[in-house]
Parts: sequence; structure tokens; C-alpha cells
Amino acid sequence: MEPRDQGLTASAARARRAGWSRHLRLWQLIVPAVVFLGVYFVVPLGMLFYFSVHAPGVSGLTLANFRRVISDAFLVQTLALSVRLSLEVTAITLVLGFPLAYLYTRLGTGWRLAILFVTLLPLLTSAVVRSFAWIVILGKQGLVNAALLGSGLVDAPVKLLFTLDGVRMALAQVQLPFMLLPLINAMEQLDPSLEQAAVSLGASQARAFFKVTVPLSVPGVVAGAILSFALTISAFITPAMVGGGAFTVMPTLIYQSAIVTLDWATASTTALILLIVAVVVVWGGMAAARRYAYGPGSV
Amino acid sequence: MAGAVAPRVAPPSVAAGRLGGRVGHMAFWAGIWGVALAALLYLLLPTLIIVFASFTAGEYITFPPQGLSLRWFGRLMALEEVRISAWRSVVVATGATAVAVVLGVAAAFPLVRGQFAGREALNALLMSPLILPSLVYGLAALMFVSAIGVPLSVPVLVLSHVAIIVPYVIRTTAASLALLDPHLEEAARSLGANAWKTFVRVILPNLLPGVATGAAFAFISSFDNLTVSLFLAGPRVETLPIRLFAMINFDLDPAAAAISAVLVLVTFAVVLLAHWAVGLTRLVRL
Repeated sequence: MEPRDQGLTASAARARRAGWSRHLRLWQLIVPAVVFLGVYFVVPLGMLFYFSVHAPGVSGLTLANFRRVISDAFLVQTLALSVRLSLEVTAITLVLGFPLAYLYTRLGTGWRLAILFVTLLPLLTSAVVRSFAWIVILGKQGLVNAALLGSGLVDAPVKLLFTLDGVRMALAQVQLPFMLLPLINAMEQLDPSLEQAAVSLGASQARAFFKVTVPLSVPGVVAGAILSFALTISAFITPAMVGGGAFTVMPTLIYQSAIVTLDWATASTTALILLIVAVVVVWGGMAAARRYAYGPGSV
Repeated sequence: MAGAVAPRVAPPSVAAGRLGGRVGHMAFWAGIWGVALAALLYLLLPTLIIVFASFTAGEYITFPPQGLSLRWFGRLMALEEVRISAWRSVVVATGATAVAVVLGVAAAFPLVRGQFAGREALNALLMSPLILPSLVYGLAALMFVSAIGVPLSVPVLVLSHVAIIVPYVIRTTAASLALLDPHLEEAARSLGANAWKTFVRVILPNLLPGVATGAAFAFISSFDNLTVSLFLAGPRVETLPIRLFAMINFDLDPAAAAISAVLVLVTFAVVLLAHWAVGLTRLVRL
């Protein structure tokens, strides 16, 4: 070992003397990316914050914008709808995603590839295209109504497009991959022999699933739920397209005040409220998961 | 194994419950398979529908379609706004991906191999665009650009896309780099290659699959981006997603379905590329 190490040190020193590496240290490679994001990402967010704590005619920092926005009944109603919708969509993705992720860990390579392919294709497909597909599916002459009318279940087309039900259905499909990937990741790390042990000790397959696999998958569920919730509450395209103008969610409100009414104080304040709600829910979820993992009483 | 430990002869209580157990076992797996197949269909159906709808011969999108034809794909070529906006999207996504690859690949090295104060904090900063809602970033970027007095233009749009796609490149490159044996670099160095030669001849070829996957994801996120572009594009810098958004809000134009089918095809190619480069099962763990 000794001679080789010496050789390495000598050659490393030689390399350090040679060419550009004499002037460049490894950590400096991170500088361009950090400077770029500092200027083009952190500064804009700082400005967003600045606009929300300054009001016309008030010198210095003020919470006037927050007071004004929160006292608006319409905003509170919109925020409540956004939170409710995001929780519902997260629940749907969990119920549909959990069995699929579980099955993934029990199947061979061919099935696994098929499941990943079907998960990644919609994940990477433009949200505009996916929402358009749902407009086509849910419309008066769409697939759902064609099937319902054709089978004689209904006499007249059912209104699904521009309703909350339609938006819920479309959003859950858009968010399902974000629930699936963390679930698959977490459940792959579970040892299948734990469940087998429970079964060989007399538990039914269902009991082993609910008493062994489900509790052990909680970290994956929390990760998926956080991602799904945070992405749903800030989703703009799907509610705008599938919901039409039928109802307003927080992102629609932000977009309208920024682009239509050009009211930057309201837009930035509403955006910050959305961020705060998302962060609180994410932190709450993570704290609950930690509490669960280490037992009640310890955080 | 559990089988070696378990008694050969089942206790009477287990034997009595065996029939019920078998039915329960089958019901359990039927339930799991039922929900899982429904979920797969749910994921796949919209994509299939939109591609299918684009082949209609009729004037509107209906089910079942009125005959099949390629006429709407031909019509795309004739729509000038579609051609211009599609080309602009290609330019923006290519430019943004190129900048993101340069910034991201460079940054991945210190994040994986470097040991310096604040590495974790810088990692969090570089990954934060993945977490921040793109709507909020779009608004913030618009405020910033107006404040410094730069008119909305293609370069402004490119830079804003770079900010949101650079984490993809960093993540996939860093994951490939973490898997790369440091002894390879040491071997190249001890055999006399300088740092630059080691990087070009030894490290880069091994990182290429990770970089290519990150670049492909970065390209498709920029190409498909609507939310940030809506804030920063302005009326004169229309991208394909904005065009498509406007077309769909107007009516159910089969030409919009044809554009969607093309976008699905591009996405399909990206997923295949990712599978070919790093393998989908490994990709999930990135």
C-alpha cells in the first residue's frame, strides 16, 4: 500500500501543477450554478416577498396586504376549496397507487418495466395535453358520455366537464405518478420475508398485508402524499382547463391578479399564503411521520 | 427459509381454516390486482384517447370518431402560428437545456466529490426549484424582469426555464457520479493523465448516460412548460404549449389533438431514451 500511495500523491501533485487544474479547485465548479440561481431564482423570490410586505402609502414593512387579502371572504373560500381538493386528490392517488406499488414489488422485471413505463409516460407528458385529453373524455360528446348513453344507463349526457368531479378525476390522474414513485421506492426496501413470516405464523394474506406491509410503508406514503398535496394545491393548468371558469382555486386567483388586474401586491401576497399553507401541511405531515416512526411522545 | 422452520403437519385449527384461508388469499390478490389494473388503465387511458382522437376524419372530436385519416396532421403544417410557436419552443428548450447541462454537470462534481463547508445548504439551494410551485416562480420572475427593465424576449424565457430545469441535470449527473468508482480517476491520474484528460476520457464517458437522461428530462420539461411561460412569454413570444392552450380554450379542434399526439410521441421517445441510457428500474431510485 505504501509505495502506491506515494505514487498517487506524486502524480496528484503533478496533475495539480499541470494545466487548468492549477487554478481551479473542485468546489469552484459549483459557483456558476449557484450564482445563476442566486440571481435568477433567489432574488426574484425576494422581490415577491418584498411586494407582499409593502403597501402604497405605507413606509417600511407592513402586514397590510395580508390583512386585506385574508379579510376577503372570497379568498378564504378559495383557499378552503384548494385545500379540500388537494386532500381529496391525494386520498384518491393513495388508494389507487398503494396496491399498484405493492404489486410492483411482488412482480418480475417485465411487469415492473411495464408499470414504470405507464407511470413515466403521463408524468412526462405535457400537462396541457393531459388536461386536453380529460376535456375530450369528460365532454358532452366525450368517451364517458358515449359509453353511458350507448349502454342506456342515462338518457341525456351527464355534465362532467367544468365540474369539481371532473377536475378531481383529471387532477388525480395527473398526480398519481408522483404518489407512485415514492411508494415504489419505499416499498422496494421492505423485506418480503417479513410478510411471509406473518403468513407462516398463521396470519391471512390480507392480515399480513395490513398489519405488516402497510405500517412499514408509512414513510413512502408520507413522501408521496406530501408531493401529491403540494403539487395539487399549486396546479394551475388542469383546474383552469378542465374546470373552465366554473370555480376558482388559489393558482387561478394568483394568475388573475398578476396578469389580468396587474395587482402585484395582491398576487404576491396570495402566492405567499399558498406557499405558507403548503409548507405547513408538508411540515405537519413530516412531523406526524416522525411521531409515528418513533412512537407517541417522542418527536 | 420460513418453510424449513414451519411444522410439516398443520395444527388442526389451521387445517380447518385452510379452505377459508385459500378463498381469502384469492380474494386478497384479486382485490390488489383489480385496483392495480384499474390504476394502470387510468394512467394510460387519456394518452391513448388523445392519440386516437387525432386520427379522426371529421370536423370535430367525437366518440366514436367519424372515420380515420391523417388530415389533421397535414393541416398542422399549414397553420403558420403552430409552425412558428413549435419552432420557438424547440429553440427555447434547446437553449435552456444546453445552459442547464453546462451549469448542472459542473455543479454535480463538487456536490458529490467535494468536501467543503455549506455543501448541504448549496445542494438544497440547487434542488429548491423542484419544490417551489412553478406558478410562484413564474410570478416572481416576471416581477424581477420588469423591475430590472428588461423587455420580455426569448433569452429571458430561456433563462427562466434554465432555473427550473437545472435540478434535473444535477440530480441524474450526481447519481451517475456517485456510482462511479473513484479509483478509476485515481488510476487515470496515476498513469499520467492530467485532470482535464481524466475528465474528458474517463469520467465523462461514464457519466454520459446520466447526463443524457437529465438533459432529456430537462428538454421535455422546458418544451412542455406552460406555467412559467404564461408569465414570461408575453404576446410576441408565444411557445407551442401557449398556442395549444389557446386553441383548446377556443374549441375542440382536432388539430389540437394532432399537436398533442406529436407531443406524446416526443415524450415516448424521451422515456425510451431514459430506459436505454440508465434503465427505468434504476431511474426510479434517482
